[in-house]
Amino acid sequence: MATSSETFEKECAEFEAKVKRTVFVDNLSPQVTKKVIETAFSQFGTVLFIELISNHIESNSTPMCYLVEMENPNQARSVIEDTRNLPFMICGMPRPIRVQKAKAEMFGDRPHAPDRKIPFHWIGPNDADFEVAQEMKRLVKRQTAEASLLLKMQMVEERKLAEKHDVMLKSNYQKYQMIEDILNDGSLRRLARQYKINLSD
Amino acid sequence: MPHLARTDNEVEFLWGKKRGVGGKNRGVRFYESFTYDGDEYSLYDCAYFYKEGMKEPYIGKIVKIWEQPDRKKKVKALWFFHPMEIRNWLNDYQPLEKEIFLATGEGKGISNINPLEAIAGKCNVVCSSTDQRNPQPSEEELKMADYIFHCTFDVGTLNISDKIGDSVAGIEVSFIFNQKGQIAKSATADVRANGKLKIENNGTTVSEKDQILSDKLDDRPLKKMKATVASAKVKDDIGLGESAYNSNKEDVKPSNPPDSSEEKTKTRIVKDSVCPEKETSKLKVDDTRAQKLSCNSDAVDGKASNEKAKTRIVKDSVCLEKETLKLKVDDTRARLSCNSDAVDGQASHKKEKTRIAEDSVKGSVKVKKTDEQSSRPSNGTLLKSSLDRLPSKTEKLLNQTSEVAKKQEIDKSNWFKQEPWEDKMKTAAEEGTLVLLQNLDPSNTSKDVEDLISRAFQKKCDARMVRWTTFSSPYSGRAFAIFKSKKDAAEALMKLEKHSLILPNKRPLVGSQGLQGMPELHRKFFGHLFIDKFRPVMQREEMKKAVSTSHCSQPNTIEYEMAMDWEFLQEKSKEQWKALNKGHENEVKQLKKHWKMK
Repeated sequence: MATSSETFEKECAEFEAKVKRTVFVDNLSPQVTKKVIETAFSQFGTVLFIELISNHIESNSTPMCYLVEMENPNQARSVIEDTRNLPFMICGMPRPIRVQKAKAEMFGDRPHAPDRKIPFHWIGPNDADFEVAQEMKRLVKRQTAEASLLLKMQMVEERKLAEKHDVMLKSNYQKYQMIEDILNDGSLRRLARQYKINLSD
Repeated sequence: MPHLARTDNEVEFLWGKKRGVGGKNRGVRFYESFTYDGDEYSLYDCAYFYKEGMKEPYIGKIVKIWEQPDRKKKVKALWFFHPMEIRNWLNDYQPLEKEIFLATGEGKGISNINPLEAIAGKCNVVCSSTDQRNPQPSEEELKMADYIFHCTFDVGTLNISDKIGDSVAGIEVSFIFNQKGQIAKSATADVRANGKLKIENNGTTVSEKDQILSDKLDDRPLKKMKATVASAKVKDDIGLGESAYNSNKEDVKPSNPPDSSEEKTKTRIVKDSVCPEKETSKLKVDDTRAQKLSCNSDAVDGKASNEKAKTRIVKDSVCLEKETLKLKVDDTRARLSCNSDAVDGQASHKKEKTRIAEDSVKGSVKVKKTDEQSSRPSNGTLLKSSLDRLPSKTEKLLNQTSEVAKKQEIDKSNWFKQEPWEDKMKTAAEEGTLVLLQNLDPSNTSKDVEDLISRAFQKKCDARMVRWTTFSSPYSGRAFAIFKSKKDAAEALMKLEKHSLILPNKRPLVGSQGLQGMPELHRKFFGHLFIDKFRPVMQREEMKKAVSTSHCSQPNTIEYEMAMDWEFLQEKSKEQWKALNKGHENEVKQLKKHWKMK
């Protein structure tokens, strides 16, 4: 018995250490591969492990999330700080990724206490608190619905922002294109000569 | 004997004490001091140096001053390092406020020869080393100092030490330590700097900084540099935290106009807006390196997606292609392989599974030759994600994949542990044995859940906790449970409905059927923009490269502003989730108050 609790403690300690040096990255595009992430994050230090967190609950249009494990907590901290200061973009512009500290619940394989058993008890319809329990269950269901609604709303916002940026970008691009064209085909020079403006720059 | 030199763009300059001659034909004249733009500099004084293209000035100790035969004036500077510059080698050393590190050792970066005009101002660096040979500075002097140092950084061994030897870079140690007259001199210099340098010691706000910048708009370029130096130092004081980040944003606007006018005058003025992050340049360097590395792997990536015009839909369909291929190919170690498959299979664009399986076998053989390094468990997780988005018929495909797998030699020990869960969930969802349990404690593990189910329902099941992501509730955990049969699952659900299974902390377990969200075929990802290409091929290459690597954005581009918009949105959504979760928590608390027993 002692040994199993010892191993459990050791596992826990290792797990804690792992959590401390892992970062949680989201807002990634589906095109991002592990190699890209590894290269990108190797600027901050050595990357030990990358894991994709797949999403079963909501619809699959949410951006990808990854857990990236670095070599030590300092590197993890520097990743978080640096990405907070300057937007870091992976595999596309301009949506930056978001990096946070990892939490224990994000991991799929947490150490399991060998003796722990979750206590529970049943309540039947005749019980005093049955109604309350039913109410709570209904509440839980409602809350999950609210959560998924919020998610949908956020996706709508994202789409709107992306469209707005798209329009802005295209208009800017056309503007630059136009300028470049004018420069290229000499009409600018012609106009300058006509108006006697000096085209030095 | 003062020696009048030609005036340099109306900046006053006077040589001070002569020291000697040297060099070829004795044409080089060494000096001990000079006056530049109103400040007097002597040998072994410290000064700010503006290197062309750098956004922040360097701090250096003047160790040699001379004028060449062609009338060019030069100084040799021994550098100090900011903690940020050597933070990779700092490890656990916590630098003090205003601390900098003297360069020692052999190698690049310890000192440089600069034109005298690169000097941007006097800098008061006080040595706070407790070495006996060092005249100890008083409290007052330490406070008045611009910077202090007591440690050195060896550029050869990359070590930090606070022991100073007998000479540093050929300079006798007595000149490294505080000089007796130095403190008094620098005090007067400070006063003369008419509060420009003093302002930052009070901790300016961003608006004050802007004022400094705009005030100096019409001044001589040198004064402007001092202002930027001052503002750069303000940033140092504030530190690279959120505030610096914000001030960066605000700085973009006001400092851009002054800078643009500057460009036309002096060449050494900073071109971009004031930004203290030297890491960006470092990151850029790494990016170009990484670019080359990933260019090869992503060239194929880009190739596959660049067949048509760069619209998002194409990418999505290619993605989908990749996903379907991935299901079959089980030893692919990176997307590269899938993309080569995609290039093969894209011509047909059909989704026939058998055809794809053939291609995948071909592709996977190719993959074995290319050397990619990703960890083996990642193999499994890649598959996990791809399996999400596929419609069913997984059994049939499984048989095919197992065939393919046999042909390749891969270590499947870890892989089998992970992959079947995803797979099982899919089948379970269809067969009706999948149950979603909610309202668990987030700190439970999967085994806990399995155990609980077996005791509560006397049924065996396979369970996994749902992992926490950005939109998970922080106080309620969820898990998927796969029962042995549909009947089992239905019974369990019924029982949960009719009665209530109360967990610790008065939570009733809530169960519901199957997968809530339908996996969508096309993953939409907002926020990555492309420009339609009607331009010649050359630009396409650049665009391709740009999309397939990662980089940090600089504050002077359009994409930076867009990125700011996205970050704002991200913050907003984070706040929204916080608020929602808080609201939920309160609701639950309210309800718990009605609990009668215990």
